[in-house]
Amino acid sequence: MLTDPPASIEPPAPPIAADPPVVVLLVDDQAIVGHAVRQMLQPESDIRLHFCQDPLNAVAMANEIAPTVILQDLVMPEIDGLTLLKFFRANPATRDTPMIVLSSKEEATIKAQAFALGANDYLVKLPDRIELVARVRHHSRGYIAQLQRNEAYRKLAESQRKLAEEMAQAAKYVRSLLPPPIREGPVRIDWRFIPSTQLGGDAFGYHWLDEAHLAVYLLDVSGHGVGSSLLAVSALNVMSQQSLPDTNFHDPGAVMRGLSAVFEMHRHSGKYFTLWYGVYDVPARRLTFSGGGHPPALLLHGSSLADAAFRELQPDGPFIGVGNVLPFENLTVELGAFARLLIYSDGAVEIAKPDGEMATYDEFNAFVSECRDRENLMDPILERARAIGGQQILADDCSLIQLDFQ
Amino acid sequence: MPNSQATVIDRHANTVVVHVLADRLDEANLSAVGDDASAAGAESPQLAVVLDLARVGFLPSLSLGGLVQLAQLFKARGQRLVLTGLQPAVRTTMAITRLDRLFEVKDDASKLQT
Repeated sequence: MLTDPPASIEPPAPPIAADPPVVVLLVDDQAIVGHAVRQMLQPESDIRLHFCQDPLNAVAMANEIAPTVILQDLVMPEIDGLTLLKFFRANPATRDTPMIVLSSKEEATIKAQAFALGANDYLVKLPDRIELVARVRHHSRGYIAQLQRNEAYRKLAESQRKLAEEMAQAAKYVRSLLPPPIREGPVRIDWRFIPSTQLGGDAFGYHWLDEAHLAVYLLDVSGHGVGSSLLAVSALNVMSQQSLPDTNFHDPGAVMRGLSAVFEMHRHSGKYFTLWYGVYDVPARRLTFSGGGHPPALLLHGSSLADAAFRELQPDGPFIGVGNVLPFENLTVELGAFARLLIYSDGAVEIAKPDGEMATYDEFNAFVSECRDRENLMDPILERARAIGGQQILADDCSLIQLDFQ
Repeated sequence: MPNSQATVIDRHANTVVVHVLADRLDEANLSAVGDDASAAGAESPQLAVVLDLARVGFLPSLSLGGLVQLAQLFKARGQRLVLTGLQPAVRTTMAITRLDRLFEVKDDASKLQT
């Protein structure tokens, strides 16, 4: 008597045909039963019967033919039918295959045991042909539907995995476009980039236009996700590569007008972006800026940190996407001996509190003022944003650039 | 006269007032509000349309584009669109984004109604 389960394998998921046939595996030591069931199922052209007279070979045969239903006797030599039921259920390939016990035993206790061990149905030998066919079809149909569902879920999970991989690669690419912090020289720059989703609509950059002029810019595309990120990258590349035709990138207003002509929202699925763009003239210690729709940068400057005061650098134009409906003027500020500039996206400010109220710009400015003596303004702002929102992941993309002018 | 769940519309001698019911204009309701305002204006092309935002406490940046498109639609029709009832946070957003220069904003639109 076999007591140990036969070696089981985890087969690869079989492809599911559009209209798969009904495959019956009959396990019975009596040839006459095999003959009788074959006669009953013969008229059904879509039902394929496989007969296993050796129960020790039943699991292996099932692994080979992938039945949609198993008919199994209970009383067989060398293996107890209830034990074979357990083996089928322990075998990964047949764990969920419907099993109909075909037995001459009618005792309720035997039936209950069979169901407890995983049988789906119980027929007393030999059933009526119509009933046998109906039950075979019923159980097979349900099993095939389950296999098709499993296959659909597997494909969905696989496509989600691939999408997640691609999103991670895209996010990595966006990050790779951000310039490294500058730790030495006439301007020291550091930044924080916290997209709310894996791909956000914020982007920023800075680069030397020539030996004496540094351009710095931060943009925020409406919305989140792939579409916003694509537009952000596109706009960022235009600025970093200075690829607007006939445009002097030392002139912030001209850059804004050029971008406004290229990135009209009706040509970009209704997307638009806010932008703060500034050019720092090192010898003159002069900052010229323009922009559209963007929160004001905060400049802390004076003859020293002790007497420095905050000033809002609010650009005057509309956001990029509505066209040149309002002028983009250049505004200029001469920096004091001590000067620290914070440029940020509205994700640092517009945060929903747990009670539903929105944090305000006044509250933000007051907080930044309290941090005036700190070398790093960005991390306290981020901690505050997370504390207000009550969670680590911010609802909106948040970007911060801090420039310290030497 | 269109009356979706997003707005309630009142008609006066010189204006059609579109009262926005939500406390924020966002992706979920901006389209409906825009459609209602546009339809109300189309039904009464000779009247000014007043968009009453008194209940709107927050204007997320994502909705600004929709408002601008609405403004451009009315401008193309040659029809006046007036915003009224702006709460302080909405005013701030409009000011920072400079949209207050693109829209006609009135504290009290009642004088337009007679």
